[in-house]
Amino acid sequence: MDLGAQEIADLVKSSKVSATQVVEAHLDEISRYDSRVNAFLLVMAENALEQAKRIDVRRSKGEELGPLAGVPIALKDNMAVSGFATTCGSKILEGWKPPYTATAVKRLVAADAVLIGKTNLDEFAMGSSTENSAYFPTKNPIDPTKVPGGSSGGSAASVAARFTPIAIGSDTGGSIRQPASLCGIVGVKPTYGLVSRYGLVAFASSLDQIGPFARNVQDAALALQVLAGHDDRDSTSIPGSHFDNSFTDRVAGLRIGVIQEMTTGISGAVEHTLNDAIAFLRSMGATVEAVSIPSTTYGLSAYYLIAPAEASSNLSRFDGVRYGLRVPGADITQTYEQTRAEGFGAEVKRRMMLGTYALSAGYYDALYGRAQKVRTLILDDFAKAYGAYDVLISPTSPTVAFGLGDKTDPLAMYMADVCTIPSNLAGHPAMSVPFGCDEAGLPIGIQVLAPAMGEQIMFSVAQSLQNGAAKPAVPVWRRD
Amino acid sequence: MSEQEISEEETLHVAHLARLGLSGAEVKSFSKQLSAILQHAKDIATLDLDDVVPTKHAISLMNVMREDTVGDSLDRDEVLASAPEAQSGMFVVPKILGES
Amino acid sequence: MFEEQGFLVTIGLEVHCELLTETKLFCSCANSFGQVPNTNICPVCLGLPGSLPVINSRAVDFAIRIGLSLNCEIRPSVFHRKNYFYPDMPKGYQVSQYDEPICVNGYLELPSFDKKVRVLRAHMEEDTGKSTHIGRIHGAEKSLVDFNRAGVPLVEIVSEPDMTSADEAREYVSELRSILVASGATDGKMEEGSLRVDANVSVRRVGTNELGTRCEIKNLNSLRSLGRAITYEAKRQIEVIEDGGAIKQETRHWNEDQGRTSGLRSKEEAYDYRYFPEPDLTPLAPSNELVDAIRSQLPIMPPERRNRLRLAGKSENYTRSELEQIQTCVNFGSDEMVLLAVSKGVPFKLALARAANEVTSIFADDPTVIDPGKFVELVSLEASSALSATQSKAVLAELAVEPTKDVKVIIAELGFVGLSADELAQIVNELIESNPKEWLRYVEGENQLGGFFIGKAMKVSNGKINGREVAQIMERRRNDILASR
Repeated sequence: MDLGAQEIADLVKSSKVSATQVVEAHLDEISRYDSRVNAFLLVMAENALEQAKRIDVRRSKGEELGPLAGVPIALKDNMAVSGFATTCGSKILEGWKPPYTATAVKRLVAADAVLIGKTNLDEFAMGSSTENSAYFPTKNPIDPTKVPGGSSGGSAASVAARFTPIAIGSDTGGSIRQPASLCGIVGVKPTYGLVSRYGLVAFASSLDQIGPFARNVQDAALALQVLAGHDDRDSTSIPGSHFDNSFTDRVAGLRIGVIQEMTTGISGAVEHTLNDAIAFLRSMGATVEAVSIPSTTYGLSAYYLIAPAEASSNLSRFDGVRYGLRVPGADITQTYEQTRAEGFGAEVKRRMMLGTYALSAGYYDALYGRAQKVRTLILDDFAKAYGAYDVLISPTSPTVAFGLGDKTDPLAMYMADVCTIPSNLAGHPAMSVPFGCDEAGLPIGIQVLAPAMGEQIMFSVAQSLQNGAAKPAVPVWRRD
Repeated sequence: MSEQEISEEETLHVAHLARLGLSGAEVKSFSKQLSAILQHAKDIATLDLDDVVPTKHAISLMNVMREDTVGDSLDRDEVLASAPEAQSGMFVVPKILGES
Repeated sequence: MFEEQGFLVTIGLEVHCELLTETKLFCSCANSFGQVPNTNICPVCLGLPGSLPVINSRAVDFAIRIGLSLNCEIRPSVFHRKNYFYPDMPKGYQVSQYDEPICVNGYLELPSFDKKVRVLRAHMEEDTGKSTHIGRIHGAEKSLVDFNRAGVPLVEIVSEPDMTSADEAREYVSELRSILVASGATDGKMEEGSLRVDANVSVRRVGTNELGTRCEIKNLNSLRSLGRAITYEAKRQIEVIEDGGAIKQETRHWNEDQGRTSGLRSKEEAYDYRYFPEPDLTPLAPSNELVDAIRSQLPIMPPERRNRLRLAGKSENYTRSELEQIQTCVNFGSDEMVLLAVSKGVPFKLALARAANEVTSIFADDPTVIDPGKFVELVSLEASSALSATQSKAVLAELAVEPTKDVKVIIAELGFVGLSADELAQIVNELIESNPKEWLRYVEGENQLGGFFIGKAMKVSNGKINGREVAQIMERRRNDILASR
């Protein structure tokens, strides 16, 4: 169960282990322990075993297998897989089965990965704890009294719990990196446009990006190599884009900036881990200096106008006409209002209200319009910083995993994304690498940020950090 | 938070634009919470942004288009099977105001 | 149009036209009219979660064609989302161009009014599906929705409020339609909804400058409806004002059967479309090379074609019926053969008359059948009096049946081969001898008897003679007799 993706693929390709054996073992682990975590909304056991069998047959015929041969993968349940329920963690889509498959998922299947299930999330990816799922909250495998982070909490938990070596999430304001940090694993938000969004149910279209979780940097890179690539169906997909999975762990001579604005308001343990990371990178020969990116302090405000505004529009299609829930009323307007009142949870309603307000007559310029200008400032500030530094680092999350039910104030919850949001606004890549933990053993991640298409150098720094990281956290049942 | 940014009346108007039926309790709590969030977002109101061009897309792609070639459509019955109500190959919806 | 009542009418038109692409604007579903409901649908045009739009390049070409045909500037443009809920709109928003449309600042000429109507903008957008009210199902009022039309590419052409009468508005739409059809971007079929017109109508008192409050009239499915609706609406507004009332800005529905407009029954609704740039699409910035290439492919547009005909006729003052013939030729596409004929020395009026009248009726089924070269050959013969008008028309009719047949062969087969001058003189002589009384009366000034002789000559020659030539011979003979008295 501790095998990584690369190891599994090597074993399956060389016929030392069958894909079926791999899948059976992982399904077994899920059935044994997922009741303690609730990572999965749907386990696709039958499909996974059939897929594994086909891979084994092809292997036995001597066919060459893809780079993720037999690797079990969990998908955040906001990605379409033809014929399998896609709920987005919402009641409004309960029972809906898309008639098509997301491009990213097709690429995984084409690489001979095995789809093992759909993971829990904050409803429509809105949240930072996975408590906003309409079905159930997911728990942190390291400490089930804590949240796994969110919104891709189910995918993060699946990897941290050793249910799958790789899981796929989506990151709009930190939804891959923050749960990766809280669960002690690697999480990558690629450059906007590197991975196709076709088939990813949109939260905020100009910010959303699909990316991988893994327990080590190399596996995350392997998954990203498969996911990345141009897609004709996504107009925002970068032409000719790909990710070349060949990087070193050398940081000697690199100039690394530590974002000052992200070192205030963080917990003591997080600050301690950041300092350890800085010391380690210096010991590896990197120049590490503080750098100020003033506009990032406005990121949260800009984000909480732009993302809800786009979401309010993206979620208008859930109207009870063509699919999903309908609560019939006397006329169409009443039907809309009742369907959406019953189908959406509180956080989704709150953000749609906020977004509708930000776009409405008389407020557009002062709210949405200004937020888009702040985005320009952030891009400009990043450009300046990257003139002096090769990569930037920061904490991923201001705190370690918090307790389930602890954060009831929406604004306090939004603060969880303060370090991750600027990369989404800029469209830049960023990833979280586990580096330390607090006294209670809760994981702490370091965020590595790079300019657009700067994944190579980002992965090098991440790989180096992994070399200096504390012992990985393990699921609670392994310590029992 | 002293200043109430969004009145309950405004909350109701926005809810109607978003076609969200809200309970009386939700109207109250949303106007408070939205006000608090917008109060926090006031930090960007103080910035001098007059000469700043808004960013609509994080990446600057232009003229992304496709060829005008017909592809596959979905199977109608399969699509209608997902619909809350269907009849004669069409989606059925409750009365639309303004139609007679 | 109501000046005698002390009012001026102002009209602006918004015309939606469906583009003749193979596929929809943002997906590869077929763009075709009249299909079985909900068969041309896919995740994109059905607004399924996770689907994404990609712009159809031919739709952009067509939009540029339309813009250039209407003398517009072609500009970098951005698609926005127009947010509102309606069951025939799958995404809860319509993707449309808002404050950065692809075509701006054009104009269109109204030939009968010698007037330019400014075109404010022409922008691209997607069409909605169609909903049909069907009455009660299980006790509740219901509608059915078909999404085949959802996502069909449209260009909306918005005029300035430059028109002042129903006639001007009708000519605007008719002229616009012929330009759009000529551009190849649309089929212009109003009855199938590929051309849809909304009219903004307001009235104000003579002597005031500020425009009155306008009403937008929808459901105008023909030029006739457009004219009637504008006249009705202007009258209605004038009555409201004269009764001391005020016009409420609203959308009104034209009912063709009742011949009246009525306010839509929707409850008071403040529209707030919350436009914002569509994040799933990239901006469009057509290169100068592309725009020039499209410009070079454009056919000559109807206004220019009318001008060429007028110039070919070398007249300063055309009669109303000649102007109509010019318009008919341009609409039908028989203007080129007139120009060709004139260049070969055929009198303009003769070529115009044949091209506007006979050609359009004889070749109504398929205007492409007639060979301009054969047309020119035929009217040249008619101009030289080798063929009569009747004969010329008969040859045209034969050409419609056998378009590739040689004109001379048809003439021979129909027995229209002209008689020599001597043969003709011989026939006239014989007729004078056998009808001396009638001849004398003709000589004495009873001109109507000329027809009697021409008729006889037709008969004995089996229609081979040219009546005009017979008349000329008789005229000369009479003059000789009168001179010798």
